[in-house]
Amino acid sequence: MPDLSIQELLSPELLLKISDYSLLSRLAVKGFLSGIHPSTCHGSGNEFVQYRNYTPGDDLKLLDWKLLARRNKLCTKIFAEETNMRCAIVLDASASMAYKGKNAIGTKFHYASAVAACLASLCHQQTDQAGLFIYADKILSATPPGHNVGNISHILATLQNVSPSNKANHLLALQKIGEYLKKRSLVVLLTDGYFQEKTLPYFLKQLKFSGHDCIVCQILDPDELHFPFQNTMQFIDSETSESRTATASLTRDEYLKKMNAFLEKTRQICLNYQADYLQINTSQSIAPVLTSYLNMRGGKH
Amino acid sequence: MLTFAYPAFLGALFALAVPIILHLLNRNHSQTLVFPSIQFLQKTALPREGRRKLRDLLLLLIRMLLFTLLILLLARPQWQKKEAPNATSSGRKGLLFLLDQSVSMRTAGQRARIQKIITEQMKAYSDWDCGLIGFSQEPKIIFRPSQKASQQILKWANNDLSFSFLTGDPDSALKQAAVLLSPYDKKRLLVLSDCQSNTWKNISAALSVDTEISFFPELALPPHNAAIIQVHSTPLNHKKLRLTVELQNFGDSEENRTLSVRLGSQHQQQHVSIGPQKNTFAIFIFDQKDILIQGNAKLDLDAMPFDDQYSFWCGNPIQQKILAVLDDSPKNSQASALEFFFLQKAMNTKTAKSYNLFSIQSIDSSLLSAINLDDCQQLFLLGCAEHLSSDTWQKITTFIKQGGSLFITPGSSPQTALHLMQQCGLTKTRFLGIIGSDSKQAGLGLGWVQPDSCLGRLFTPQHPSDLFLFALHKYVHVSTPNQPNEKIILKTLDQRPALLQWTLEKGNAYFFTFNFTPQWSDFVLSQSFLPTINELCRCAIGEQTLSKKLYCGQTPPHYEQLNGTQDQPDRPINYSEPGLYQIGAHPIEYHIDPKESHLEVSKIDNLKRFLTRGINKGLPQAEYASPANPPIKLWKWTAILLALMVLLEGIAMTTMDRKDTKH
Repeated sequence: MPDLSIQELLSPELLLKISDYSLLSRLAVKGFLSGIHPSTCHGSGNEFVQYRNYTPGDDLKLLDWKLLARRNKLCTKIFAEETNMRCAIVLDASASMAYKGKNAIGTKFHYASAVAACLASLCHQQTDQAGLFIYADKILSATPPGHNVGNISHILATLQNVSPSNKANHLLALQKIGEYLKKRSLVVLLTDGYFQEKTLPYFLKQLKFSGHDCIVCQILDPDELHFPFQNTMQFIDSETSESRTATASLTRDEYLKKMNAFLEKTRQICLNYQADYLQINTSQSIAPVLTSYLNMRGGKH
Repeated sequence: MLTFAYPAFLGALFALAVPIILHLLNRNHSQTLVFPSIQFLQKTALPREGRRKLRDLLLLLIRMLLFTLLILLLARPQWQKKEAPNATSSGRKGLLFLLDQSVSMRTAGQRARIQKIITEQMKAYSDWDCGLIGFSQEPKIIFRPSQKASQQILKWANNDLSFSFLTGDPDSALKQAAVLLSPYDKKRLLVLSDCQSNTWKNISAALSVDTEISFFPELALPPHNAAIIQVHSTPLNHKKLRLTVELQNFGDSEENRTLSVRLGSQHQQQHVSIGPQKNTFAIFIFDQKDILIQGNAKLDLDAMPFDDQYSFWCGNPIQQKILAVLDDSPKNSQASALEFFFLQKAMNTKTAKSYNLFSIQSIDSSLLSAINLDDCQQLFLLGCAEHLSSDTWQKITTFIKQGGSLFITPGSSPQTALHLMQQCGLTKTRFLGIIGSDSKQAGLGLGWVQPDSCLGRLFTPQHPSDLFLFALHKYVHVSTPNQPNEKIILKTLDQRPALLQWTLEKGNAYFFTFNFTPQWSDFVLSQSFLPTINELCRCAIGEQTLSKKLYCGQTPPHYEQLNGTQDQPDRPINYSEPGLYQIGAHPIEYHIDPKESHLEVSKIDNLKRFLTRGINKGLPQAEYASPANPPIKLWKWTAILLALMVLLEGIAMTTMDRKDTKH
């Protein structure tokens, strides 16, 4: 696609038309990375960073003998250490993710899947390890982080095969996922965020305690954010099947008030536990998530 | 009693079902939406929904009422007051017999059946006012409805009941019946008719909806009927006369009957077989002893005997003048003269042994432009068509348009002749060539005759070669366009056109593609080509040359002599019956209209429904109501109600909408 700009390339309308997540992630990530300096991970390795004074007990092989000879000063070389980041993408596949409003360009699940595919692909390109956990009432699929070629293929294939259903049991699912992640990881949670009151703080606290970084992406449909309905309608909860008849024009203000309070509360919880919070509208571009991921990655170093 | 001037509009009330059905269909279809989470939604709708439903129901009712009133307004409601009990027409019951006296009722046993019905009905309705209307071509009130007339009707039915020889038209009679029955509270019309469809079509009259109409199936037409449609006489040579009797079978089974024809003292008979719904012709040859003679044809009598007899005149019709135009150019004059000789033989004008229908004269082609063609019926162009000027052709075209007949034989240049004829709009036939000019293609004879043509009726060969066996040494090959006014009457054995007929308004032109040869006349008469020319000329002058044929009920024609005096009939003409008359020298025949012989009947249920449809030529049914008790027209009140409903609907809409917005 030579004529398309990066923005156009990453436009959700375009991306979500691609049903093959492998192709989608390749296109999106390639488009997004062009013009950005590749971020490499520094750590202990071969690349020299600085000198520091020798302290007794330091490994003598790190002593710079040439400098000792020239200046008669004991200095130890410090090298940059190369690390591999592990990224665990946690995708909510509960029934509420299957919603698609008039202004949205796809279901919330489809959108979240596209984001997950992009992130996994990005990780793979940067030799990071990517893993994918999909849950609803239980863990539907678990692919622990790894960086071999088969891993990314498995992630993309899994995304294509799962469809949202059932009521979400966030607490149980997140607990189980926490058990999978033994090493320090970046956890990207893609959900619509209808948690029970203490679920999210508990989960974030657990992650923080284990030393994981976390990005919470709350994916919402424009209908949920703006409630544009007019008539009296019977609303059926997609997860509980509970129904409630309401006149939209009358209940809108109350709904929006409660919704905004809920979103603010979620954001506050994330802030408290030093997790990045992203609210994504399914009519918007995927770019903010990728940017946030890269910022997070850059910020660690 | 509530009545409607245009009750047909009430049918539109069925349309009221549409909004109700829509309402019922939509009632259970409230809008549902599967939403991700309803934890932030308040249950707010129920009281509002209830009000909306009430509003919808109220609006539905108002609109239905509005629609109903609109339909009622179109149907023009009116209130017919019931008359007071002591009024003169209170409780009066009127019974009227409508008797079909047309000729189709002259079937065997019909009179006795009608007498029986009248007697039975008079007993059954002894306390009713009874009347009787008879109709054939015109209606006749025989007895007005009254209590006294009952006995008179019985007496009349037993002694004076008769049928005419005329066709039936019940329309005026029905209108009179509607008027006669209108003062009665209970109306009953007893129709004594065979319900022949020819009689009962084109009815415009209508009776009031409360009239009880009865038909009697026992008066129906018989299942079989064969009839003599017409007889046509043709004088032949040697004082012979040919009679062609046309017969028709109106039934659905084959009829085998004996047909006997009497002509003066001569009598002949034939057995004829007529297929179902078919026409057939029987041909008789008689000696002609008088110039004008009466004849009678008779079939075995069947259930409808009136059409099994046919009286007719036969004799010598007025002589027809034939003008033969010969080519005067030295090259072709001899061939043309030979053709003229043949024509004279064909028309029997060479021998004066018997009566000749035709008298023949000849002129040269150069003189034709100067000749007045008014007193000439037939014109023969014997090989000279190409020598005539376009002005002369225009004159000939006018002659054909006025009913004359033109016969053309090809000359030395048929291409030019056809071109001239195309120019004056006579034909679109194209010249293709001359066959046999190299003398190798000789020996082609005539082998096909158009079955629908006048010749086809006379010559019906079993095999193509039976028709004419003579050689055509040379003839013109033409291509005929597929035009309705151009048809082929004769073809050669190799299926090429031999004789073409072109119709132009009233007259015809006949084009022979070959020349007449005098040798043909040496063959046996029945096999030769001579009678063909003769028959062709007879067909061309039409059939009504001898006597004037009229149907019963038609007024006789007037004939004037040269001095202006009018010819008088030999005896007073009773033109309502079949018979033979003479007005001066003109023979007149009165016959029964053959449409009365048809067996097709109208359906009684349809007739009843049609007659009581309550509308007469667009006039409301109220026209038939008693003028002493006019109905009260309610359409103004309906209109006011309608306007009120519109107002109410508007108010309901605005007030409810305002409440909605407030909430």
